[in-house]
Amino acid sequence: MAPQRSSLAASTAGSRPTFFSVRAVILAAVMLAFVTVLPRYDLGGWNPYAASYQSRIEFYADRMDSLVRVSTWRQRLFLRHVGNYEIPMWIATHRRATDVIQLPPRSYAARYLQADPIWTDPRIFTYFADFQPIVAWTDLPRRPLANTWVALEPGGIALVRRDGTTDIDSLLQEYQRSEVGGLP
Amino acid sequence: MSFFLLILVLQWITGFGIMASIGTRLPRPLSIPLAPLVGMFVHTLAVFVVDLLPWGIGQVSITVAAVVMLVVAHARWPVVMAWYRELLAAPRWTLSMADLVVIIAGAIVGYVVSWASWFWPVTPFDAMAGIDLVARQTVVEGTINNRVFTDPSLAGHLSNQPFYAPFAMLMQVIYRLLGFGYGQVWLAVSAICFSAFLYNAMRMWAHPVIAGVLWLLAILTPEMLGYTYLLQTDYLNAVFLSSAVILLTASAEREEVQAWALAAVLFAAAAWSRTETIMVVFMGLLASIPVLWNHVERRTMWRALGLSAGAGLATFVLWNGYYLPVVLPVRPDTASELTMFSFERFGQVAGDLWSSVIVQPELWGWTFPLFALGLVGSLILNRTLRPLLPLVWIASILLALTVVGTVFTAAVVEQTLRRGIFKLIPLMMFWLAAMPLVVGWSKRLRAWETGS
Repeated sequence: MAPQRSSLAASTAGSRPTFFSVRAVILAAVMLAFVTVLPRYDLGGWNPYAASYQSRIEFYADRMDSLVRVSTWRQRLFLRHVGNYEIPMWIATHRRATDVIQLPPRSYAARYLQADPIWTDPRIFTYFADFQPIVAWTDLPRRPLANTWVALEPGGIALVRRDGTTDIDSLLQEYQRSEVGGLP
Repeated sequence: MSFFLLILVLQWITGFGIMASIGTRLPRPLSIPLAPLVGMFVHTLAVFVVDLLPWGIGQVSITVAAVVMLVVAHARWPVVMAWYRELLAAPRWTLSMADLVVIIAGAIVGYVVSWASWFWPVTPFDAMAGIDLVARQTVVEGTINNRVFTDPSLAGHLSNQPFYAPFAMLMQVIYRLLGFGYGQVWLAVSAICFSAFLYNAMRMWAHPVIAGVLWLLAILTPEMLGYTYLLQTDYLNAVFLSSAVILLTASAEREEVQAWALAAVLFAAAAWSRTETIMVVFMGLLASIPVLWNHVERRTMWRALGLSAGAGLATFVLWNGYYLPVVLPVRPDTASELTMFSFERFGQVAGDLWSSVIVQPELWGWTFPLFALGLVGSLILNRTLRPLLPLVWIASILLALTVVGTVFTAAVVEQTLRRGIFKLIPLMMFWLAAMPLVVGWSKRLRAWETGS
């Protein structure tokens, strides 16, 4: 059977307009008006493109010069992820060679971090701080291996051990209570 | 920087070689932006093969892989040479002043997207917990089968994130090896190439002003815009899938396009970029049969559909049927995320998809209302819904997404399915540009412009 091509195939082919003519200028002006209005004017809530463009493109375009001064990869990681990057890095640099660190439940960490504390997920912890001897809170079979715990307080963090001054059992109870209480 | 440019050029030329070798006939405005996307896909396949060999993945091996792919893609040199002769023939410029305005506006967006994908670290949770975690360790150890899958601290916590997107993971490996601290710059490369392809595809049917308006609405779609520089698999998946559907449509509708085999390559790339896409591909191909039945030669149709199904299945099986069960020591726990299909749940997912996702203008801008208007206008004024292929694919994608949301408990409507809608946006805008009503307006506008 022979192919039946669409009659649309002709479409806009045919006579070619010149690049510069009065009508070409009019069409370009219409286009210019559209590209000016679409990303800039909210039009009384009718134009959702404006807000999105301003937050996703214009925001960065305006700050490019100052942001580029944040020059190292590590600084940019901190700029973007703040505590979620800083805490795993702090733990990785302050742990002792023999430490096996129990990551706290997310609900516990959420009480001390404004952002969602995704660093308590072992994958995210590893992503930021590389492979470390850690035990996820949900990893029940490996929990007994942990000998170091993360104690948080407003604006502070500590690694606590059995031989220290912190009562580990009450810290663990706090971990568990946070789960019962859920995310704040 | 020079290493990056070298790899980019190798991928680009590989893309051209593949197009030529498989007998693609495509206008230059479409083939030039599409070639890097094809090259990127093929390069990830080559790096995957390197992983199976004892040499290990590193700067040298990814470069050798790119060169080997380029040579293989040009193996049918007489055919490829003839193709290059056409590609390099003196161009016939059809650029208008309105095009320039659109291109400059697009270039501003492209510049910021490129900058953001280079400047910002990987942000989405899924990427940090999955593909980029694996990619980073692959760079360290030289193999995808690395410590991420064996370290006791992660055992039982991998979920499905590291397993469902080999394309994005391997692109991260390649770009991290190129020296980009966070990889990611390939996101901008693919977004720019795809946007250029989409614009030129629309311009084949519609007047530059109409194509420009629809194109800007497509690339500035609020929810999609951010994902042009955020490491997620959904935008890439949309790029490959919608490019393939546009090529199918153009091959069926336009004399100057013969890209059935290239569409198959892109379907394979789509299945390589997200696991569940194979379902969308099969549903869409099946739904295409009645549309193509009286439209193209039967032999061409069966070959095209068979090739697309086979290519999509091949990449799906390569990763999910071979690499995951045979090579990797752990498997995604997909079975635990599956639930029995029920019409009640299907209806609930469809309802949620409609109310929480589709009818949200802050996510999709004017896309859905314009599309609905286009459907009604086309039916009333032209009594046709042509071209039908994009429409059957839009319906298939919606159906497939709803089925995925029904049977996979991990597929959350407000997240997974919301990003799945990315596949629809370019297709809807392309359909609007190619529908008879708009083509008619375009002809009148062109006649007015030329004073004929």
